[in-house]
Parts: sequence; C-alpha cells; structure tokens
Amino acid sequence: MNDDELLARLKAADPALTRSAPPPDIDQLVEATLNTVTPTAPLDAGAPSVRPRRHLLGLAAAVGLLVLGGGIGVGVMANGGGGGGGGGTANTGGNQAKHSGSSAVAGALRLTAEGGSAKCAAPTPDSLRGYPTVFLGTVTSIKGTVVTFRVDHWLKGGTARTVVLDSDTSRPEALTFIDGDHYIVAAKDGVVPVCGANGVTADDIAKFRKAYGK
Amino acid sequence: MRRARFEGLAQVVVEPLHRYLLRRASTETAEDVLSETLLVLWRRIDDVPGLGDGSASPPDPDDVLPWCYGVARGCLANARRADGRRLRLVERLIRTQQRAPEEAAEHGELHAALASLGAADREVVRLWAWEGLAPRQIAEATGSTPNAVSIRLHRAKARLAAQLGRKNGGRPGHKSDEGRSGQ
Repeated sequence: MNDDELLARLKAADPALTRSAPPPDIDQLVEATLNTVTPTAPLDAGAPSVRPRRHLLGLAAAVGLLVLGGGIGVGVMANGGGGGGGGGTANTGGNQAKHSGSSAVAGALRLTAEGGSAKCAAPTPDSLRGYPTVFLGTVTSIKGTVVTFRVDHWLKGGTARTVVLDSDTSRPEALTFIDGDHYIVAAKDGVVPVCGANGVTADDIAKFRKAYGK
Repeated sequence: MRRARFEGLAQVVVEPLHRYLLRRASTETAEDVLSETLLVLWRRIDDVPGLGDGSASPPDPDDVLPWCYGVARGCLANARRADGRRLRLVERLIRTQQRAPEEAAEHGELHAALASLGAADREVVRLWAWEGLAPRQIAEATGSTPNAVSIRLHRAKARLAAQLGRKNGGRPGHKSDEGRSGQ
C-alpha cells in the first residue's frame, strides 16, 4: 500500500464526513464568545483561564498536601489529622516555619497540589463546615506552578499570612488561578480536597465571613 | 480592531475546527470544546500567527489554522481531563454505539489500525490525512519540529500500511486493494 492509497483509505474513513453533525453556526458562536468575555483590558497572553466557572475546574485540581513552613509536613499533618477545630494547627506551623530555611516565604502555609479535576458546585458555608482549615485569600503571584495567596481572612484553623500552593503536577494548565482574584480554600487532614478551592466574589466573601463570624 | 480581527478569523477557522473536533470526540463534546476554543482564540487574538493586524482581508487558512488546531487540541485535552474517566467511558460507549452500524462495517479495520498506533503517531497521521496539513504545519499544531514530525509521520504511515496489509492478507475474500501490497 503506497502513500496515496493509504491517504485515500484514511480520507474515506474521515469521521467528520461519515458523522452527521449539524454545521456550526459561526455568527452565533462569535456572538456567544464576545458576550462571554468582557473585552475591557487585553488579558495576558498566557492567562490560563477565561471565565469564572473555569476556575472551579482548575481549582478543583487541588488535591494536595498541606505543609507548613516546609520540611515539617508530617507533624502538621498529624496535628490536623484529628479533624477537629484545629485552631492551633497553623499557629504551631507558623512558629516552626521561622526555623525553616527552605521555605520561600517565611511563615507561609504551603500546599502542594496534584492533578485531577472535576466540576464543582459553588461552595457554601455549609458545604465547607467540615473542614478544619478554611481561609479567604487573594492571589498575589503566580510563578510557574506556584501560586501565592495573601490570606485576607482566616475563617478557621490558621494564622499564617501567606499561603503557597505548589502544584507539582505535570499538567500545570489544570491550575487556573488568576493573579489578583479572590478564592476560598478549605483543607482537612493536610489535604485540600477536590472542590476545596474556589473563586469567590465580594458577595461570597461577605456571606462566608458572616457565616463564620469573622 | 480586535473584534473585527476575531470575526474574520472565526469565519475562516470555525468549520475546520468543528471537523477537527468531530474527528476526535462525540458531537456534544465537539460543540462544547469548539466554544471553549473560540474563547481562547478571542483572548489570544494577538498571538495568532499569520493573522495580520489589519482587518482588511480574511486571513489565509494555511497560515492561521495549524496554530488554531493546536488550541483546539489543548482545549480538548482539558475537557477530557475535566470530565474524568467516568464521562470518557460514557462517551466511548456512545461512540461505539454510533459507529457500530456503518463505520464498524466499512472502516472498522482502518479505525482499529489507527487505534493501534501510539497517541502521538495517531495524531500526526490524522492531521496529515484528515486536516491535510504539511509536516511543518503539523509541527505547529502539536508543538514539535518539522523534522521530528516528518520522521514520525513516515514511520506511522509505514506501520499503518503494514497493519492494514497484514489484515487484508489474512482475509482473502475481503474487499480490499487486490493482493497483499505489503510495503
């Protein structure tokens, strides 16, 4: 079988020809696209996300280890393992972090995210009730797979001012945080579960703070 | 103007992108991912190679398409990951059902041979045969080098031909190119 014969056979089996799908409505698609994205300022070429809903997909990827300061993960995880109030957990870690030279941001709470993603329902105070560690934060930098949060409000279980989420996944595009955006992040037993991190609006923030009395 | 450039680009690429996705996913997934791809193209309109800054004439598909295929490819991969294994399984089931009547009978052999290739080989062959891209364009779509694509394509074609040839040889009565052509 030569090249031409092979090409002919492949072309005959082209699923786009053998499948009967309606052709796309270009005008309608263009319209939908322009309506979905607000063309205020030109966005970063490499910005990994388009609309808020997509953040949830990416953030849902955060199935991670919760490590304080760096190199002291085991102790902290054992601490958090009780799954209770955990008020002292991050506190302890914050102190320990001062002795840790390996941490990029001293006193920062470190999260390590792995791959995997899912579609998540929007978080509610009730849905996050079971997590001993919950905070509202703002992304202050994204360097490669490392996302740094400034903690705006601890709702439960911590005092660190900075949280570093390191995604060691080989699929960094799964993480779609946006610099300057606000997120709510929940963790339990040292793990940020699937759907444990989500983008939040100002309304959400007020709602969560009220619900947690912070 | 960004908007005019995007509209010009969409007129040229939407249909080929839709076909690209139909060849690789269910009709529903293809539609979802097409919307997603357009969002990315709109956001990255300044990065599209071959798309001049003027909105004077529509862009040349040969210039813009390979890069846009690359975007669609990424969006499809994202969608697959997001949907997870469960949905993939469902999709696979639906697809087998859909294809069972006509494709299994007529092109089953070819699809089986394609399926036997590695993912990268398969994509290169599909881009060559179905999207009609040259190695240089395939390289642009897959983030590879033209040289590497040429080599990969050459080997994948040989493997595919051998696979099909073997099958034909094994079934003398089957409708095919006459005799065993082998290589």
